[in-house]
Amino acid sequence: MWIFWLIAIPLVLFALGVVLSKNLFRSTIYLGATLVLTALIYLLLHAELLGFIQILLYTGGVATLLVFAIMLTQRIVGEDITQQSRGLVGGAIASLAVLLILFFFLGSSQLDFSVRPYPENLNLALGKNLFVTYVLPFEVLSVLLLAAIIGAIVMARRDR
Amino acid sequence: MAQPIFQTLWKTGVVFLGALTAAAYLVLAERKFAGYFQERYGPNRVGPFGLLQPLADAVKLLLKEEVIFPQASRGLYLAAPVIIGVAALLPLAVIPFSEHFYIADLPVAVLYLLAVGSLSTYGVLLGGWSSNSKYALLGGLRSAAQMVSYEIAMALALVGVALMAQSLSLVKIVQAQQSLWFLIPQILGFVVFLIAAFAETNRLPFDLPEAESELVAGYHTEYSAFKFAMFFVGEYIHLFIVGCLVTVLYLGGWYGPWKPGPHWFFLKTFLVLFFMIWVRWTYPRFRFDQLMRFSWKVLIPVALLNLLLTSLWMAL
Amino acid sequence: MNFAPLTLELLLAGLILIVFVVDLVSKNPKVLAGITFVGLTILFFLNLLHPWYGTTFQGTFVSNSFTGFLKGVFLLAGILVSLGSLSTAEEQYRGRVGEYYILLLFSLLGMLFVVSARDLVLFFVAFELMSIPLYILAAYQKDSEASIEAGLKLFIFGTFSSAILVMGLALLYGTTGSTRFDVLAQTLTEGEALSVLGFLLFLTGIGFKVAMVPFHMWVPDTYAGAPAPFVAFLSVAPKAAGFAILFIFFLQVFANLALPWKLVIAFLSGITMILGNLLAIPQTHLKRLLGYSGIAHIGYMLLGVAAGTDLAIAMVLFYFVAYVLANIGAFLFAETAIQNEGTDQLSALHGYAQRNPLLGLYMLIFLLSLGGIPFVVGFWAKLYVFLAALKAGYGLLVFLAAVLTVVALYYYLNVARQIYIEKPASNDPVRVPASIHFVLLISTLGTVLLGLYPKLIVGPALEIARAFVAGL
Repeated sequence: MWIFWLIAIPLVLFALGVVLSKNLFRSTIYLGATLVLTALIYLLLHAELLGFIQILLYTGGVATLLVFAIMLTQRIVGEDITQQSRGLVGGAIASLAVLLILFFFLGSSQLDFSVRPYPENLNLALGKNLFVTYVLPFEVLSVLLLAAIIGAIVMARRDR
Repeated sequence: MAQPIFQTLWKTGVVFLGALTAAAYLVLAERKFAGYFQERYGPNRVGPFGLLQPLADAVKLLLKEEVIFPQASRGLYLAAPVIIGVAALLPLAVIPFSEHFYIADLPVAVLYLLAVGSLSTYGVLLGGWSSNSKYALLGGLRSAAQMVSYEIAMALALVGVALMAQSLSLVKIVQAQQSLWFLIPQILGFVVFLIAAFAETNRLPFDLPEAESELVAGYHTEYSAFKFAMFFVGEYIHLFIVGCLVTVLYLGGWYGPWKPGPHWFFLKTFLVLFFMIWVRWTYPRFRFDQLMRFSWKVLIPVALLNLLLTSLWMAL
Repeated sequence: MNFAPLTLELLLAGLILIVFVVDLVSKNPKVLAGITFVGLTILFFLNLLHPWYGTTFQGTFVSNSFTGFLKGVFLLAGILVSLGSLSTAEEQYRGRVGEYYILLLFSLLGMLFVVSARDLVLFFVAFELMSIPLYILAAYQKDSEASIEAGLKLFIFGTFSSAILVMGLALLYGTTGSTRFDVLAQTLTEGEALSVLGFLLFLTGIGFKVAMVPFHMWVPDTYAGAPAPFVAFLSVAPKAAGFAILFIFFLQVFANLALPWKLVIAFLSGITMILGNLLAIPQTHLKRLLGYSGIAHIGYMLLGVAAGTDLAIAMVLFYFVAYVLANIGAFLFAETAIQNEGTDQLSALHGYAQRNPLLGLYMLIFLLSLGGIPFVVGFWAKLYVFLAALKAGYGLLVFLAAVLTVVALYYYLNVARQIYIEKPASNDPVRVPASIHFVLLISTLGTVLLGLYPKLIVGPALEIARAFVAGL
């Protein structure tokens, strides 16, 4: 239990840092830290695969690219990007409201939160789920990625 | 898999100290071999054959003055070497040195390796950014682009190994190589992995992040004393781990012609490391655009081809 | 594995590949638009003549008369917009026309999947496939700040709402342990707190997509800034998909959930109608005005969702057809005005009927249809939806809707007044590109024809809705 708090408290602090930091670069670094700590929570819940994939894709991929983009624009192009946290009060009230709603629903929930046994071979079970049960969404997802790549290239490319 | 906690602790201690020593002597080995390749002696003043040189280096680095620039972003500047050090040490937790000697046999070890490997990019990026210097920044940027690109090729090569072994656990992967090392069926993947490993460890011919003739020392230009030592040691631990990984993934780990055991493991690791040092002192540096093009247009397609062939082979 | 029910989707994916390859060979916008137009038309008639009904992938993909009708509506919108975009593409999208059509087709593919999905995972992936190309298309005029702003707003609201939606879906999965709609319907019975939260998050996520009132704020700026032919598509097809999702979820997934969802929808319908209509009145730009009027139409259609009877479903289906024809026509008229005058300000439209009588007539018919004047299709659409809602017991709401329809007439006829009565600033003839002219002609003919013989659609729609309700 104490391990959970050891992860959760810095997690919340870093998450606040993402929103409140004036410096966009720092914000992104805090985001990276938040993502790593979230992955640790997954590990705590015995979801090793998910945890490491989270680090690999989000921290190692997405957040790194964000940092990269900011470094390129800020230090090299020379545009200073600062983040103004306007509407802080409204935002705080809104997030508190969301928090209360979540607490209310979680508190009045009667679900069984006990841990179910894991399948013997996790990788096999996962593979079967991905490529047998959910093969159609998997294929549609690859179409979606293709669409996203085409879109990104069209947006980024210089017109001739 | 479940072992008593004290056993885990002493193993961790042994591996930690062992890795530090290995890193220190890797530095010496590199300098010695470099000397021989260039027909000079290399360091030979401290101790017999210069064997105590690493100790002298360590003392020198620790006693130097700590410099923190007023222009640097202090928190991030200090965090960078720590991240590098930690990220370099983390993979040691899953490497099986022999059939019984490993800290943990994670069922998803391959993913773990890739995940913690991606963290070291942060150390480099932070170091480059927080130093507030153009050499460091350019080095950091180059390194981030390089590591992200080559990580993909490396991961794709690893999938081939995992497919052959039908497991993501490193112990199981080695056990699957008892009769035939993966070097042979996975030769394409092996080449891709090795090349990507050169890039991931920022070594020649891919050492653009710190290319001394253009960038002074790249992302750690502005670091001194102990903080520099962290970067330096981190780099060599990383190198040592890459040697171990090549051994585990492709060269059959602790198996050998006779009685299996850790001696085979270390012999193979040493040979891989020797090869990497040899390459460093033999080949010139790539240009940056060549480097990126090579990754995206050659390495990744080859890795995908390897993946396709492996899947076909496994399906038959 | 039975692939027959997927035929239409596979053929559309094939069409995307064809456009892709042709784009490599020829960058001629006419060729690309022609292939898209012809391909979609063939698919439309195939869907009409030989629908591939059936269930496949362990019941997670369903193709029946209900999905067939909706797919017809999407394809119709795609056909009209693919041709209607041609002149804009020729002038402004030089060198990336192929990608424009490819992205449009990708979005259509997502819509085809989204109405057929009977599994949360497939549903969400298809939903994103529908949405993501739209963000890019909205910002397609890269040199126009307004277009970039439109794309950015659509992107931020879209991804935010998707995040809310997926959170809701995750909670539904968490409480039931299944992603299949049929299992969800059986398990989601008692008011378990987390499934209620899941329901609310789902409603919020979809609410953003169909632009119900508390979630409508992205509409005006996006409609005003994005290229008009694309807005013609955005304002009809994804909305129709959103309503199909609402029907499927409310009548199937949440059917046994003890929640007063009909009251919630009725309330949302009421405020959507009021706000949309009232805010449309002071608008001075045609696209913005059409945006708010679109919100009002969403309100009317929500009335049908709140009723939830087979009659109401049939009438909403009919409403889609009426709305697709009139709305695409109206936005393409706005595009013609922008191409000629450089703006869609209402004052720039003065005397358009004198300068180009045919164009004025087209627009008049679209406006009458949107306003709900007898003997064009929009009238029947409104009347039928109101009747269905009245039968389901929403007397007060129908009264409100009727009053607001009269209010709406004010701003629709105001546009007509600018076109017909105000004196033109110049006497130059208004140039209408042949492609747009053709689309306007089809839309007008459809609007008039269905206004005279609404039975043509109403009959099949009733059968489809009955089959849909019975099949649950």
